[in-house]
Amino acid sequence: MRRLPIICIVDDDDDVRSSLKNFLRSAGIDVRVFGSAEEFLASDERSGIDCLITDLHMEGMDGLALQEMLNGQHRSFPVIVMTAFPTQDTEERSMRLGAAAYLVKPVDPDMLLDRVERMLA
Amino acid sequence: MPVIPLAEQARILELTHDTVIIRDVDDIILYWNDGAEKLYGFSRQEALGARCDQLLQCAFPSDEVARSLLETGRWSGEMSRARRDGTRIILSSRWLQSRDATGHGIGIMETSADLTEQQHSRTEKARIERRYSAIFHAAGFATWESDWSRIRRFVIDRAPARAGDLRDWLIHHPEIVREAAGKALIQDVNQAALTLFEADGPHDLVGTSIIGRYPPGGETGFAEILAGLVEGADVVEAETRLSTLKGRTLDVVLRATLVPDGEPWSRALVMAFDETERKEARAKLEQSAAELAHASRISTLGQLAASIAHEVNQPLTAILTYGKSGRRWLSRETPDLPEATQCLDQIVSNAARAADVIARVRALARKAPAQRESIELAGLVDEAMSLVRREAVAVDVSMTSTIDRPLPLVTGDRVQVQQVLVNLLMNAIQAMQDVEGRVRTLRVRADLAEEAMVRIAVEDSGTGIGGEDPARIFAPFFTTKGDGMGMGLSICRTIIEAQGGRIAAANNPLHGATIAFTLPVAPDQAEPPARPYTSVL
Repeated sequence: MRRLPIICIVDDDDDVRSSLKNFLRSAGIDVRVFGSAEEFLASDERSGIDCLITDLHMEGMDGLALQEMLNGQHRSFPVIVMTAFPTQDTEERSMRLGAAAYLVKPVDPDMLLDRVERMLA
Repeated sequence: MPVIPLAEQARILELTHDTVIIRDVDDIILYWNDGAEKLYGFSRQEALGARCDQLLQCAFPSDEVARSLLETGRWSGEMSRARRDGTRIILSSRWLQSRDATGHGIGIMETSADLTEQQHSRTEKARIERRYSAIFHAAGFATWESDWSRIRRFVIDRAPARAGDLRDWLIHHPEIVREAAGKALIQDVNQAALTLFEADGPHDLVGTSIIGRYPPGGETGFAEILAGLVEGADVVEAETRLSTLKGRTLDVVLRATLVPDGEPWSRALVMAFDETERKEARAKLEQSAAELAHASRISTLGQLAASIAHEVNQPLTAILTYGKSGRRWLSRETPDLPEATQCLDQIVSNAARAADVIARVRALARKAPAQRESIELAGLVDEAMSLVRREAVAVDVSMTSTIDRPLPLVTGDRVQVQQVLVNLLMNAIQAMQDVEGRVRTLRVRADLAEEAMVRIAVEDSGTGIGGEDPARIFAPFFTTKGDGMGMGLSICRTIIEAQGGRIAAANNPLHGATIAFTLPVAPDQAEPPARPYTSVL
């Protein structure tokens, strides 16, 4: 049997984080959540993940810096960016850094799952 | 010469204290009594044979005297003479002409009394009365004179026996005050009083009592005045309301002065200063300040729109997600009820979170007259900081608050105080957004400052306030922002001062500026021991 896909979520909002975790879990995905980019980078749970979903605006390291950092570490998984402050500038920068998607909050979870499933297929 | 008969006649006047002088047709003194010696200071030897006019340097209306003597043979009037020591005196004099058989005058018998003392005091009294009257009538403020002696008797008669209770007792018995005021009798009014009361002439007011001019509920001020006067004050002032003869209600400051004269309180001089216009102007000012404050809050909210959208967006995202995942848990082959229940619980709590944000924003946008309430500052500071938190994060500003706990409650309008704090925080964040090469920190401190005041300080590590006088940032239209109206800090000052506090700005020793304001501690707040407590947001 194929192992469950592993998805990491980085968002500094507890409720957003937990709700996404719950939703993806209900779709049979192994979800790991982190309250900040730093926490994610320091964790050993991030090895072998299939996808990262990160918020853009966070205290400390933001989503763009996290993307840069991971690109520098030769990441092997797709990154989906979410934001409540969509601007053309951040969208272009995210996409240039190789984001698989730039989603505007509130994100429709069905759509998110659809993206994730197509990515993992 | 018919000298003897005149002297004979004069003898009966020896006893009088008045002066008696007889002189002949050439003004030579023939008779000089004891009274004359005493008053003028010349002895009989010196006077007899001298010319009266030369001796006494007489001054009298000579034409009038000559005419009167010619027509009636007598004259009476006032004249002035010099005494031996040179001082001039005023005399009331009566002259009687002696005539010979053919009707020619042969001499004058005169009797005079010193008027100087009497005259002086009478002149002085008339002068004072004239002056009083001139001041009374020319005064630019409404003044009237009343006989309050019946008020005094009435109040003393009805007042409770225990002294010290009078003021309270009067204030709690407006019907007594009203009855007392009815016993006043206006004696005189000036033009300004006629204008104040919209009266056509003195007859509208003189002879009436002031009672008709007290609108219902206006007794308290008069009660204060009565109490003050009964307690022995000569001048008492109180705010009250009066109505004009045309029914307009005025806010006035009444000042009552007792003029000591005759029966106690028989001359009460009352002055009224019309405060209506000042109060109306103040009310208008407060209204426009409130409108400005509202406009400024709306503009602050505009600046915060993105933050607010985000604040609402987060719980909304959670609600949407939990809703859909709840449906997934339920539509499994074996529905997972515990998971679905948890989703529903989360939906409820996130909806509450969104509602909180909306309530906070709505409170800030509220347009209502300023309230006086007790404010718990720690909560207010937390809320203000959470409103601007996103803005701070967006430009890498770290925010901390240090609040002395327990901090006493303060008095003020919660929404307005929060607006001031949000405004100061936004300014501080904006002041730091271009700072490079050092940590951008924003610190809010709240502690017990001077006597019964709490101080809230917002410290930033920005570029500080340029120029020599940091206080000028509170002037209207002062701005450092290209698109700013420059009303923010000016309104902050208006708001803080309206709540009885002060606001001040100063540059920090190293970097940035501190803007601090104070608010009065709420009444009945015992001074608690200060214990520093730091929270890092």
